[in-house]
Amino acid sequence: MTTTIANAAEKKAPIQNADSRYLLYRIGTELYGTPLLRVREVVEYMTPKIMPNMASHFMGVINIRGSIVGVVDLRIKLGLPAETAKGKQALLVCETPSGALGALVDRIDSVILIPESQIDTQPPIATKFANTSLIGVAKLPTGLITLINLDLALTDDQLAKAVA
Amino acid sequence: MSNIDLELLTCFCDESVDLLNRWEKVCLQLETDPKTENWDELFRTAHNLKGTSRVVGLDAFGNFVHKIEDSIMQARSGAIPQCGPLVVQLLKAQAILAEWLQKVKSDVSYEPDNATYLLELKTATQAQQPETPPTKVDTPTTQHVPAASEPVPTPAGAVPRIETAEAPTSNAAPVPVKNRPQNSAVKDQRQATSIDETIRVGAIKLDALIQMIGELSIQISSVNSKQENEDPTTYLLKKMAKELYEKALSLRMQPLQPIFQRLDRNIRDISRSLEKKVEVQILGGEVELDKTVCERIIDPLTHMVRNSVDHGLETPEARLNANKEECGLIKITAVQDSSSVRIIIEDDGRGISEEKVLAKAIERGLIQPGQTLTKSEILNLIFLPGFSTAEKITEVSGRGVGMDVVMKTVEALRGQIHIESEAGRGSCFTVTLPTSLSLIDSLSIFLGDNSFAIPIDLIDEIIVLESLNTQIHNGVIRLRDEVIPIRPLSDYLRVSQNKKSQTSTVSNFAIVTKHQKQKVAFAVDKLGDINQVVVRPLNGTIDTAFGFSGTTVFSGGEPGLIVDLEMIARHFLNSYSPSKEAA
Repeated sequence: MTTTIANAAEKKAPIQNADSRYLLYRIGTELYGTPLLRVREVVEYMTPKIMPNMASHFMGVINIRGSIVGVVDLRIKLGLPAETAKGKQALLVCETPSGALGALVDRIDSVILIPESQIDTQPPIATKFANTSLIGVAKLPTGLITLINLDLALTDDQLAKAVA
Repeated sequence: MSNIDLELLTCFCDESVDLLNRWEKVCLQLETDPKTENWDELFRTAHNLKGTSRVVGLDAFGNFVHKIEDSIMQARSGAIPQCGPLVVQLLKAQAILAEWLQKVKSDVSYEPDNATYLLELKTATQAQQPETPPTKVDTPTTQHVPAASEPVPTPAGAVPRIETAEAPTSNAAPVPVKNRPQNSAVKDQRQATSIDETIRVGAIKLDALIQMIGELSIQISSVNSKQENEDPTTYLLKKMAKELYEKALSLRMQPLQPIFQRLDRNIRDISRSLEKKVEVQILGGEVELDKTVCERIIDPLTHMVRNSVDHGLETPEARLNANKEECGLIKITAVQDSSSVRIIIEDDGRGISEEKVLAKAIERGLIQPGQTLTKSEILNLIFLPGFSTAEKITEVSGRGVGMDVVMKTVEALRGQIHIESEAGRGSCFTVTLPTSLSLIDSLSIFLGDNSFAIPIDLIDEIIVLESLNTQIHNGVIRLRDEVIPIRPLSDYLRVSQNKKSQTSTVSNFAIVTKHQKQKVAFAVDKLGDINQVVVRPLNGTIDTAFGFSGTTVFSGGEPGLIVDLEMIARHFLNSYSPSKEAA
């Protein structure tokens, strides 16, 4: 169930520089990127089973090959209003120290190679992700891409809600 | 020292754990039953250990065992009139060797200085005077009535009591039988029937295998599950898959015997250091529990047993003064119920003093002075954090961190602890644990559109709420001749506003569960199917969620959430006060 859309750059140098390959995806109007190696898999959207007593950005759980994995809505985590599921939504599954966790994004964009020289690690703009997971901002001719380590952003997320 | 191959060394150390366990077991047997066969077995064990240690290159280790072998040979040939002290030394040796093996794994050149020990060993082999053994050896049946040989002056009241040892026992539940049947005969029989053939398999390999079999089972059961007429092949396939899974799970089951042996040893060591006399009776060592449960239950059981010896049992003089036998009794029993195992620890000591417990709880601010509590509520106060009734903190117990941790550990294993106690007569702790952590029967229930699974063994009964006799009134309902509190289950499984289903919910049924003998009812909307499911622990990212004990995948592939009804009931009962509900 893994879907990757290859870019022209990738076709030229498929194996080289695995560390600088980034998976790009959209949340709202912003374009984000995560190192490809930090994403365990990309899964087609499936309606999560609702799990009570969890934070509002936690959507529920899904079944991935027999394992139950939680899903977080990145739109809500970033403070954007939730949207009903449309066609091309996808789940990025990352490994955190406590286990696998899925993140819902609006759309998978592409996989591209971004050389370090094009990444500004001290961006003057504030992003909604914590600094611990921020890699930097990539300046491409097409626009700016916020690069984050998604697995770190999902780690230690306080997902459970206490019950009185 | 010869060259030591590290891989061989680790292998040797792991295998020797079994040998040292046997060493300890035989020594404990020798204390009560100095038969030649036992000496033979001890010799074989030591000899085995010596040989393999030399093969691996641990010469110093081997030499040490050789010296011990010599003393065993002497005892076996009858050259030592009084073996008691020797057995004490041999048990010490087992501890030295066990530690040696532990340390040498990380430091190959480790070699303890055993000069003092060897001297003590030599002295023990030369013991001539008959000594009163520190732990009770004789069976207190009528033929052993201590007459002139008893060194301790027995009060006049004690003698007629011993003569009537055959009389029927009193009616109190926690008091063990005064007439103690010799237990070793029963022990031996059980050992004879279980042939000790084992193979060592890495736990990781086993877990991986079980996981795969589990997934295979799930896949097979999802084949054609919706078809009306299942063809015979599919039916057989599903049947075999289920059996395969159950057999795989049973691979992880281990008998409780090694754990009980450890407890026996602990009791023996502690009673020596506290100068108390204890007899230990063990029954049911062949009962099996999942490996993980076994590993995690050792500490709680050890703590409870230590409490029994330290706080429960009186000193020999105090016991005699109370018209009890000088030697206290601790009985450890394992019983296999249909889907759970009960481990019962009983002692015939002084029991738990309700006044002391109440006083301590008030002192610690755990309860208010005016509160009235039932006896069972008072006894359960000992499970609250920060509680301890020890006058002073002894090395063995008394820091007040014990029983609450014990309770938490047992509850984490989905088990329960029940206490019974009678002042002056003794206490009885019953730990109930589910046999299988993984395969359970569950009932699906609906709250609105959302379904959840409740383990069947947590359900006491199910009530239909519309019938005349079960009207909800002030948060309670009448159930035959009881009045029990009732709450909507959705109060504890809260879904955030944006996910709430649009359909209005009407509770038609209530699930009654029991926590520590108290019933609570939780109202649900609809009932679903009963399925046998494989339960996996919650994924680490969601395991702090309140109210859930695990996850599963149903045969169609849908995820399932297993409700921890016990936790919810406990949470509710902790804040529930019946007086608030009255009128």
